[in-house]
Amino acid sequence: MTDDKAVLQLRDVDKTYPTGVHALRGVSLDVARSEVIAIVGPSGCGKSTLLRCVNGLEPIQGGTITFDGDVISDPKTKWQKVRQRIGMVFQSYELFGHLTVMKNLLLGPSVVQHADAADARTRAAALLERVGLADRADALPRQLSGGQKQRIAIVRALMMQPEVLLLDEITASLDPEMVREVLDVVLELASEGMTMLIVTHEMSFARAIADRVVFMDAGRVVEVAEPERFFTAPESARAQQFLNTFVFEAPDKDVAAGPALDGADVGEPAEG
Amino acid sequence: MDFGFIRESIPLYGEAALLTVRIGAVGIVLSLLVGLVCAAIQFFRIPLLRQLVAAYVELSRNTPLLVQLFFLYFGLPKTGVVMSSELCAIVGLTFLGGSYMAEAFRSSLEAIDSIQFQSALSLGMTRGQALGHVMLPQSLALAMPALTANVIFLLKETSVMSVIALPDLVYVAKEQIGNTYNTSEALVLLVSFYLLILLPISLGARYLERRVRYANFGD
Repeated sequence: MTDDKAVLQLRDVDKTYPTGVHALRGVSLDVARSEVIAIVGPSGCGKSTLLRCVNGLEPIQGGTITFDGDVISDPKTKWQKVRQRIGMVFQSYELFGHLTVMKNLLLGPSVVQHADAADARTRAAALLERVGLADRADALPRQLSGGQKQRIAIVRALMMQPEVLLLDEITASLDPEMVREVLDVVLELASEGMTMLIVTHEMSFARAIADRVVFMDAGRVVEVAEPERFFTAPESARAQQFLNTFVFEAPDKDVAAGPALDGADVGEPAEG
Repeated sequence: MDFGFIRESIPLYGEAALLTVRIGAVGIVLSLLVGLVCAAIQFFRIPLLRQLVAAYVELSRNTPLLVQLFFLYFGLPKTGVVMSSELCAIVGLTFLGGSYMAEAFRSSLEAIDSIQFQSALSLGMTRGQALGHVMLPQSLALAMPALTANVIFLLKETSVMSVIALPDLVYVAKEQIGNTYNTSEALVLLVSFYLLILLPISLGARYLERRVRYANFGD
């Protein structure tokens, strides 16, 4: 595999939930190796569904998803193999509550990869050290803060030595002061060349980390742009309107200015 | 109260109690196995088998054990299937207990958020591994009160087994009353031996439940 070839390709991906919700409408996207893509958009735009489809947690009804040259969107896909190479971290951490931190980290390697126990333990200890949680190896998940849990969840995904990491709103459940400690870990992964798809509401984080920003709305990719461009001069009116929802103005300042919230005639971009 | 009679009768009741415990233990272990298999079928929504399990659970839970035993002991021989009363007792107890255990496992599995299952899958586990390593261990703590209640319920249900000529505690007591008219003594012995079996189990179950009650997983 050459490095400039897309490691992950989505072509016209269509997803309708059994409830009838049409979550993805012809989504196409190429992800290069070591590329970091931030996916942003309003709630319900399909960005989380997109990650879940790439991880095979949701079947798709149309289009194809290709990973490292293999189509992974058909029923014959060996998901147990693919998921070891495409890791996923969830908004709600999803650590296994009955296991200590260390056992959470070792479960995948031992059950799925039949890895050497001592070797896996050494890797786990090293990763815990890196995220600053070496002293929490024997803690149970419920004894950890949200930020600690999410750092462990990232480490747990890394234990499988994935080539791609999918991060689904991993800071959305965290108190503001814990967001930083989690995002620092992600920034470090990016600097090491980890390929990542990051669904996030942290706009300044997306701007700092992403090679490209994908803006989605109503199941479609509306805009793909470099972060500087997207956050300073978005092309679509929908993206402008979305970015304006992150901008607050003092209420007494220019009340008469009219319908600033619907954003139709507001050209001023958000500050990241 | 004829204490000499009571003292003489104790070995007789002891033997019957051992039989009750043996039938109960085997039936309960088999019930747990049947319950686990049924719960797994329902968890994975396996077509056909799933409907079969649902039908079994309804049939088993909505007919009395007494009637189930009549069917096994007096009905089946007419179709050529003849079982000893001991085997009948075990099969009957398993038929009844399996559905109760299945419901205990099923409801506790449903109480664990399915995204836990997905996070196990996302590590590359098979569905079976995710069930065995992630879902079942966590649901077990939730299921414990229902499971121990079922164990006690099933042990008490063995008291109807005398109708299929199983020489259990009730059977021995009825025989004694019929043969000796020592009704009060026989009934005191009967109650005492049931308490002897069930009290330690009840107390043990309560201790076990306390041990696993910390299990409020997640946050």
